[in-house]
Formats: sequence, structure tokens, C-alpha cells
Amino acid sequence: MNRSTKSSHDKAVIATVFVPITALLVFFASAGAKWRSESLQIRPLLQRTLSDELIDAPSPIAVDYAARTDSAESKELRELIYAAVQLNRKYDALSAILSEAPYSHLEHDQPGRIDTHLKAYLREAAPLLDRLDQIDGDLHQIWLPNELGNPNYWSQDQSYLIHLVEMQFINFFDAVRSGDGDRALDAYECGERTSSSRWESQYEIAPWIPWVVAQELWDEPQLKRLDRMVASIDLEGRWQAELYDDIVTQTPTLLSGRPPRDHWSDAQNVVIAPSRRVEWLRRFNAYSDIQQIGTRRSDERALDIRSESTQASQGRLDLSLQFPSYTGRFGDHDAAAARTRRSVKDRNWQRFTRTAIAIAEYKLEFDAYPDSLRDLVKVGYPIDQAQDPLGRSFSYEPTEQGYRLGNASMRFPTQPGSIRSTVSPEMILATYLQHYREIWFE
Amino acid sequence: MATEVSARPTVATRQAPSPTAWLWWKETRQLAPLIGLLAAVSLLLILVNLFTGLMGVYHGFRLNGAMTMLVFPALLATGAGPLLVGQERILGTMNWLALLPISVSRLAWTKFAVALAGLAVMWVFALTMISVLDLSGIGPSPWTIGQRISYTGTIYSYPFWICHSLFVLSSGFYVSWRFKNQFYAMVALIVLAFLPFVATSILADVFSISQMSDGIEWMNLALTLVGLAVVTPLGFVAANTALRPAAPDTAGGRRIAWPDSPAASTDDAIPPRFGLSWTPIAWQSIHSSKGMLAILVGMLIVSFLASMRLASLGRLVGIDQWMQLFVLAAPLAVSWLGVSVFKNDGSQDRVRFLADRGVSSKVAYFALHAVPLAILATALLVYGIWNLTISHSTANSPFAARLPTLVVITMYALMIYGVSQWTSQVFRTLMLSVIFAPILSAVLVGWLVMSHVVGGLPVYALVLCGLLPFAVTFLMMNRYMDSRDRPSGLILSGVVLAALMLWPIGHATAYVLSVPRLDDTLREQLLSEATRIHQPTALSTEVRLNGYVPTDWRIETFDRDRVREMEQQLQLYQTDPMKMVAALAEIEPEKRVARTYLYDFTLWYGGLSRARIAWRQSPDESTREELDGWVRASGILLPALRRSVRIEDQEVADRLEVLLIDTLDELFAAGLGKDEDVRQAAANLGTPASRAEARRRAVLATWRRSLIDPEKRHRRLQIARYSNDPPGLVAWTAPRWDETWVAAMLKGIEAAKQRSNDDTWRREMHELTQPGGDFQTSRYGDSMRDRPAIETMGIATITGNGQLWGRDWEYVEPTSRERQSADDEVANDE
Repeated sequence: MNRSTKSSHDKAVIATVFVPITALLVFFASAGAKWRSESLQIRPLLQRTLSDELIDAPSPIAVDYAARTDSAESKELRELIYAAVQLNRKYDALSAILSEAPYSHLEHDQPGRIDTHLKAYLREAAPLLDRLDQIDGDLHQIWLPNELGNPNYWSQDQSYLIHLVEMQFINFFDAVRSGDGDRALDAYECGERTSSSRWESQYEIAPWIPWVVAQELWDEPQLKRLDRMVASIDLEGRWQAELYDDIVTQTPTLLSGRPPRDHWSDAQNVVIAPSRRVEWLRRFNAYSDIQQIGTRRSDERALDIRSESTQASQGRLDLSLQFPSYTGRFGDHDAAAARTRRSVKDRNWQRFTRTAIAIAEYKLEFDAYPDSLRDLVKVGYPIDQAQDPLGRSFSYEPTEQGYRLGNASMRFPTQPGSIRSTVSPEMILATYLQHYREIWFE
Repeated sequence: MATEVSARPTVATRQAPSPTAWLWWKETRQLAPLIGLLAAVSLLLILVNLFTGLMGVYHGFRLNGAMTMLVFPALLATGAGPLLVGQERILGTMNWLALLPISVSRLAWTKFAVALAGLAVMWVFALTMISVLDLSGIGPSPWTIGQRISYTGTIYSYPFWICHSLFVLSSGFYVSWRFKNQFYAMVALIVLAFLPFVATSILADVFSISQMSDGIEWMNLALTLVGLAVVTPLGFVAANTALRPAAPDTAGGRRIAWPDSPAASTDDAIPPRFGLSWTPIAWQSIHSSKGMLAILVGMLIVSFLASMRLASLGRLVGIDQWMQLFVLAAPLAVSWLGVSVFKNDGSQDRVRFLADRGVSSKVAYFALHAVPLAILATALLVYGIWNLTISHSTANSPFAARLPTLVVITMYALMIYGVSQWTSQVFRTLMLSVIFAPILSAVLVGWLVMSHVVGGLPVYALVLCGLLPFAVTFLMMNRYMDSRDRPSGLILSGVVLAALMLWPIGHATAYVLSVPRLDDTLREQLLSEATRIHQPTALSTEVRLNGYVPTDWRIETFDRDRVREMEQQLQLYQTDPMKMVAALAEIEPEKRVARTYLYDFTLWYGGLSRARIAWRQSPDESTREELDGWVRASGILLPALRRSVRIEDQEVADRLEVLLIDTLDELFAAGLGKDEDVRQAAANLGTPASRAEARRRAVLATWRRSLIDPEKRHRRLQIARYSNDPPGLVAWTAPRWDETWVAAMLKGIEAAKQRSNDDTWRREMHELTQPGGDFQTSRYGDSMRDRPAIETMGIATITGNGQLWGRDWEYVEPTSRERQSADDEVANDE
């Protein structure tokens, strides 16, 4: 056998054997290089939102909240929270009865009997409500910073804030029953300060505001105050604050690629590839840039970002080195889209309520309801603010004794199905608003 | 396998010996190793199962006991035909048998009958194991046909399994008579074995019968019986054909000695020329087993196509469910690629040929691996590239979402390949290698992966374990080439097998032992102290602080008067604190022990806070009276809670005391220090020494209870560290962590008693409750402890024991409050 020269057969065998093996090794090397290059992008992307100090902190979320909150205020608030817990426990049934069918119970079913208990509750709640009024600022920001950022943290203090919301809910209904417009507005204002998007209470006051407006409880100055309160709801600010919370919470994992064991969506993977993390950050930045929060356009943009990022995640070489599986949603893809959808609902509620306020103001000024929503221009309310997410005017139709105002331009079913399954106007409205509501100005 | 044949009868009987007794004996001896090996592997699996059971594994690698046992008769059925017929044909001993004065049908029947007897033995073994080890599970009898979806732990009933194994046995004989190449016979057998299932699926699809319906098993059974009826006679026909006088073997007009040799199929006009020492071996390994490699590549392609299909489906219905089975063709192909390294043409003569010509064992080793590894690398590369093109979202396809990454699949593939090539070097025959390589690969890879997932075996150890089989075959290559690898090869293989089995166990043991525990003497001493802690149940009172528990208001009925129900509940609801603690003041109040719950304390905290807020907002007689009631009741509750030996009660007592001190401070500051209720409550506050004593008793008693009732350990001790341990080792590590907890808590108690700044115990507690987190921002960190306890303590949950210990609230003397109060009064007077 001549060992000095390679024959064509040698070359064929060498090619057969080494080409695939070398190609596989090159593939792995490329994946490693990609891993490295993607990793280097993470910090600069984080720096667009966070300071170096926060990025380098062992627990950024703890540092962030420590800077924003105060433990002495937490003590005050905790005292109130648990006092409300104890009181609400005693009157456990009251808010449930009110929330399920307040109108029928208050007006038809049990006239007088509910009032007794409402008064008794509020007698006991009075010191707490007074104290709550004395606390300024954003109440749901007060929580324990030192419980954050470490594994296995759980604190119910913040979730118990819903008991303060519940207390204001009962206060609100009693004020409405008593015809005390100012107290009802105070309760609404305080309830808004206390409620948090993180812990949604079933006893929110806001959904009932348009209904109370139609009851003609409030006079002109009170309506103006209510309108200011409703108009000042900052959906953009809330959107940005929630995004900021997300990035501060996820910073350690974005840097290390190792998700905490006790929560988050990607429990399957031990290590998340940098491209998935970069993809999250890019998506985060894209979400931050969304304009006109509360419009259909903003929601569609959020959906586009989500689907773009799903497609973009294909073809990432470094995923080959992720451990152990290719899957692994990093962060919650659906959360942002769900928030933009909720913002559309909230914006619609805002317009619906302000439209109702404008109708009530019109009634006070002209002693008659407007014949059409266009007439609201006379009280300085622009018609383009009386539109649903489709950009069509709210339904406003005469009844035997007055008019009824709908929270959308048309009735729609309550089972919306999945988004994009259909583009019919009813389904779009159902997707965003869930329920068709009407209030009667009579 | 050596075939020893003797013309003399080997068993003496009183009757005249059967003229074919020797044949029976020979066939039995030939089949016995397969039965023995299968039984041994099944026992190995049972051991693995028992071990995983001992580890209390919740997820990961866990075999279904009954299914495992039922697979082994099926494997015997698979191997019997190729072993008794195929192997004899490839070794040429069948030709010799054909020369003997025995009819073809008798020869074929004898072999078949021996195989049947072997199958019966295997069934008896399997069913005995199932019944002795109670593996059949609960639910309907596994002997009932047609209850496919049952909880018996088996997919099919035993009668079906038995019929199917008969079908596989007959098919094995048919393909072995039909195909001389053992590998082809084996592949054909696998295809035949699944035919009844595939046919059933197709028929069910055509006639729109649900794959989950009970009738499916009847259909399967019927088709299997039809198959049995067809394939059994075909086997005998094929035997007659195979054993009739053969035509002269020719290849290209030349007579050759070995018609099945690669040379027979190599008929190039120009013989290949090579300049390197290893390339001819690699060349030969392709050309000597083109068919085998083609089938293996085909299997990889089928698996890949099935994967592509599955990755495009969100939900599996109808015949697509079989795609999952096709995916399994890939690991089987990888295993057989490993087998092909040393058994690619079914004989050992090839390497012997190389040895005779002085080819270096190293060169031969790498050359033999070259082609299979190249095929494997190609497959992996295709897998890696394909995964770049698909979406891995669960919504798109659950299959795609679970796909292992390239690095993981490469590791799996190399482990399977490694074990299989090792198996093929150890076993002398292709047939045994083909049967056992996939089984051993599955068992060993499964064991190692399970050890990683639930036993904490690190990835580097996994990689090293995966490389060990390669090391064995490399070391034995020289001897293997010269056929001198017995018994050294077997001994080395035994050692490596033991190492592969014991390494994970050794690692797990080392891990468990690395968890700190109490010194033996101290442990005995503390346990003895814990045993002496006695609390008379007669004096122990469960204090419910939450009043009346309302019924569920979400239950809807038409005729409910909900307002009346609420009124009734309000009448029953009890919020008077003195009434809630009344039982503690009845008999021997100084010895009464209170037991309560944290949720109840939440309401107590709320009640007292409400009274404080009311008094602060309007300090009059009524609000003062209500607050006094809470203060008085808290003063009664606190010492009773301190007497409890439950750590939960000590946590509640700590919180209550912090709350009470804060309240008393406010009352003292308001000049109410001389009030009787206030003085009494202040007198009931503890001291660092009394608290230390109460806490020590509770820690030891709680630890002792956790030893008696380990299930409730986590709830009592609030240790999150368990979940950081490999899940399979928690049963062993948990008691040791408990002892770490005891040691840290005792240190904390002493530090609090002495007012020491030592943070060792806090760091230990932090690791136990928030493992891996940042200490400084944790519940035990300085930044939290520097603030007043009343501002930072959690109320509704205990997030780790002892967080309030040793903080400033513990060291304020009641007398200093009175002095402060008096000073304030003087200042006010002035």
C-alpha cells in the first residue's frame, strides 16, 4: 500500500468522513460565537432604560423599590390594610351583595334593610376612611422592598390592598344612596389611588361611575371635578410604569440567562440563549415606543410586535446551545398585548364616562337631554371623544322617557372568541370591551 | 454464539431416547442465553425502578413496571427466530444440519417448538414478576380484552400481548428463513411486528372509528390473529425453500468462497487504490454493509420526516399519532449505527483480517468509527439546521416546543452510540448486539439522564459517563482484533458498567453528605432535651381569633334572602377580644398554653389596629375602652402563646409582642401609662431571656415533630432550601437541612439573648429560606433589620423563622417606657 500519496479513493473517503463532522463542529462554533455576540448586546440594551447602578445591583427590583417607598409609610398603610381586612371580614356579605346586583338590591329587592347595614359598616369604617384620606400619594406603591428580588418571596400585604378598595366601594354606594355627591367622588378618587393593576379587586368603583352620572347625583361643579378626574387618568403613564416594573424584575435573568426557579414562565430551561433575551429587550423597547395607548392601533401594534418577535426567534444559531430544549418563552409574550387590550377598554370607559358627564352637564345647562351626541359641542365636548374603539359614535337613542347611551356604537355578543378569528365590528368590540353596557338618562 | 452439536443423546431416560432429543437440547442451549440476558436486564430495570422509587422521584425517568415486564416476552419473540435460524444460516451450521438425516419440516418444527417453550417460560417469568412485585396497578383486570383505556398500567390486555408475541415469534422465524442477512431480517421483523397496529389505525381512520374506543383492541387482536395464521405457514414454506439444495454461488462468473462477503458485491472494474492506512477500512465499512447503512439512513430520514410532520401539527389525531413511533426510529438507528462499528457485516472475521495484516488497532478503531460517526454528524447537522427554520412555540406544536436543543441531542446521540458500539464489541454475534444494544442504551442513557435530572449528576459527569464506553472499546480494540478479549473484555465491561451505575449513586451520596448536620453528640443531647419537653394537652387551648366563619356567599340559589343571612352572621360574629381569649383566663391561667393560626392573628392585628386608629382619630371614652380591651386581651394572649412549643405560635407571639410594644409606646406617649390595663399588658411583655427559653423549646419540639411527621416539615420549618436540591435527593437532604435549621435557630436564639451582632445564623437562615438570593436585601439582611420591626414585619405570612429576633424591640425595658412617660408628663406640666 503506497502511503505517500492520497488516491482519489482516499480523498473520497476523507471527504465523506470529515465534511459532515467538520460541518457539525463549525455549526457548534458558530453557535458559540453567536452566543457571545448576542450576550454583548444585552447590557447596552438595558442601559437604554436603567442606570448602571441599578443594572449592577444584586437585586435591582429591591433597590428600585427601596428608593421609591418608605417603611414608615408602609407601617401606617399596613395598619389600615389589616384594619380593613378585619372589618370586611365581619361584613363579608355586604360588598358581595352590592357588587353582584347593587341596583336591584338597593332599589327594589330589599329597600331599607341594606341601608341599615351600610350605615353600621360605615360607622365602624369611619376612622379608617378618615385616616385613609390623610395619606397622600400613590397608595399602592407602598410595599416592602426587602422582600423583592430574592427567591421565594411572597407577601400578602400588597394583595390585601384590595380590602381598602372594597371599603371605598361600600362607602361609594352609601354616598350614592344618601345623595352625598362629594363623598361619592372622594370615595372614587381614593379607590383609584388604592387600586392597583397588579391586584385587581372585584369591587372597583369605576364601572359604576357612568351609571351614577345618569342618576343625576352630581351638580355642575361636581361633574366638572369628576370630568377632571376621569380625564386625568394617565394610561400612557401606567403602561410605561408596568413596562418598567417588568424590566427591573427581569434584569438579573436578562444578564445571567438563568431564570429563577420559583416563578416566571420558562421553568423548563436551565439556561436561556442570549438571542431570546435580546429579543425580549428589543420587544420591550418596541413596546415602550408604542404611541396612543388605548387605541386599537396601539393594540394592533403590540400584537404585531409579539408576532414579529415570534418569527424573529427562528433561525437563531445560539438556541442550539440553550439547555435543554429549544422552547422557552422568555418573559410573558402575552402580558403586554393583554395590557394594551385592557388599555383600549379603559380608554373606552374613559370616553364613555366623559360622554355621560357631558350629557349630564348639557341637561343641567339646557334642562333637556341632547337630541344627538353632536349637540354636546355646546357644552364644549368634542364629538370625536364620544367614539368607541372602531371610531364610531357611541350608541345614543331615545327611549320613552329620555335617552340611552351605550358604551359602543352597536350591541355585540359577550363571547368574543379569539382575536383575529374574525374582523366583524361586533367581534372586535366584544374582544376589547367584553360587555355591552347601557345607561339610561331618564 | 458457539454451536455445539453432539450426535449422542445427552439426556438419559428410561424410555428409548427420542431420535431428535439432541436437537431439542442443542436448540434449548442456543436460546437459553437470550432468556437469561433478558431476565437479567429486566431485573436490572426493576432495580432502577426501585431506586427511583426510593428517591421519591416526582418526575423524570420512571418506568411503568407492568409495561416493562411485558416488553421482555416481546423481545424474546423478536430474538428467537433470528437466533435459532438466522445465526445458524450466517455461520453456516445450518448447512451442516441440513445434511443430517432429519426432515426439513422436523428441523423447522423443533426450532419453532423450542422457541415457543422459551416464550412460555418468558411469559411465566414476566407474569410472576408482575404478580410478585404487584406491578399490575389498579383498575380493570388486565386479562379483559377491549378496555384499552384503563388504569391497569398497560395499554393492551394480556391476551392481546400474548397473541402479539406469538405473531412476532412466527414472523421472526419467517423473516429468518426468508432473509439470510440477519440485519435485514431484523428490520423486516420490526416492520412486520407493527403491521397489525398500523393496519388497525388505517382501518380505524377509514371507518372513522376513534383510536381511543374499546373496539380498537378487538380489531388489533383480530388482525394479529390473521397475521399469525398467514405468517406461520409462510415460515415453514420459507424454511423448505431455504434448506433445499442451493445453486452454485457465483459472482461475476467467478466462484467465491463466501457468497455473503463484501467481496461478492464488489465488482469494480478497477480495484480501488488507497494511500492512507485507515481509508481502506472506512471504504470497506461502507461497501461491506451498504444495505445496512442504507436502512439506517432510511430510518433516520423516516424519523426526520415524522418529526417535520409533528412539528407542523398543533394537535395529533388519527394516523398522525403513529408519527411519534416513527420518530423513535432515529434513536434505534443511532444505536444500530453503534452496532455497525464492530458488527457491520455480521462477523468478527473482518477485524481479524485486519489484525492479521498488521493494521494498528488505533487506526482500525478510528477507521471503523469514521463512517457511522459521519452519518451521525450529518443527521445532527440536519437536525440543527432544521431547527433554525421552525417555530418552537407550544401553540404551534407541542412536539416542536419540547424538542431538545442540538447540544443536548448530540449528547444523547453520542451516549446511545457509545453504549451500542460497546455492546457490539462485547457480544459475539450481530443478532444479540442488534437486540441488546438499543435496550442497554435505553437503560443506561435513561439511568444517566435520570441521575442528572433528579439526582443532580453534573453535566460534566454525564459527558464523562458518556465517554466511558468509548474508552472501553478503545482499550480493548487490540485484543478484540486478535479475538483475545475474553475474559478481560468482559471483566472491564463489568467494571465500567458498575462504574456507570455507581457513579451517579456515589455523586448523590457525596451531595447528601455535603449538607451540614449536627454533630452526633450534640444531636443526641438536643433530641434528649426535645424529648423532655412536655406540654400537657389539658392546658393547651386552641384560640380562634377570627370570630365566626361566614358561609360561602358565591353559592347561588333563587330563594335565598341574602340580607337575612348576613344579619344572622353579624349576630354570630364575635369580635370582642376578651371573649376570644376567655378560655385562657379560666383555670390555671399562668399555665395555659395558646395555639393559634397566622391567619387568625391577621384579624387580631387588624382588630387592634382598628381600635388604635379609632382612638387616634377621636380619643374619647368609647374608643379608649375598646383599645383597652384589645391591649388587655393581648396581654393575656401573649404569655400563653409564649408557652406553646410550636414554632408557629412563637412567630405569632413575636409579632403580637412587636405590635403590643408599639401600641404601649403610643399609649405611654399619650400619658396613659398608669392605666391598669396598660400596666398589666406591659408587665406581661417578655424579656430576652424568657423569649430565648420559649423559642428554644419551640425549635427543639418542632424539630422533633418534623422527625416524627416528615410530611409537614416544610410548612413548619419554612425551609425553601429543599427545592434547590435535586428532587430525588430531597428525602435524604431534608433531615440534614432540618438540623442545619436547628443549629442556625439555636445560634439566633443565643445571639438575640446576648444582643450579639453576629450575622452567621442570619446568613444560614437566608440560605435556608431564600437560597441564592442577595443577603443584604433579604429578610435577614442588615438593611431590613436596621428599620423598626413594626415597619417591616410581614403579617399574613411567615417568610422564614426568626426574622424578628435580636432586633431593637427586644431590648426596650418596660421601666424605661414608664420613665419616659413620667418625663413626658413633667414636661407637659411645665
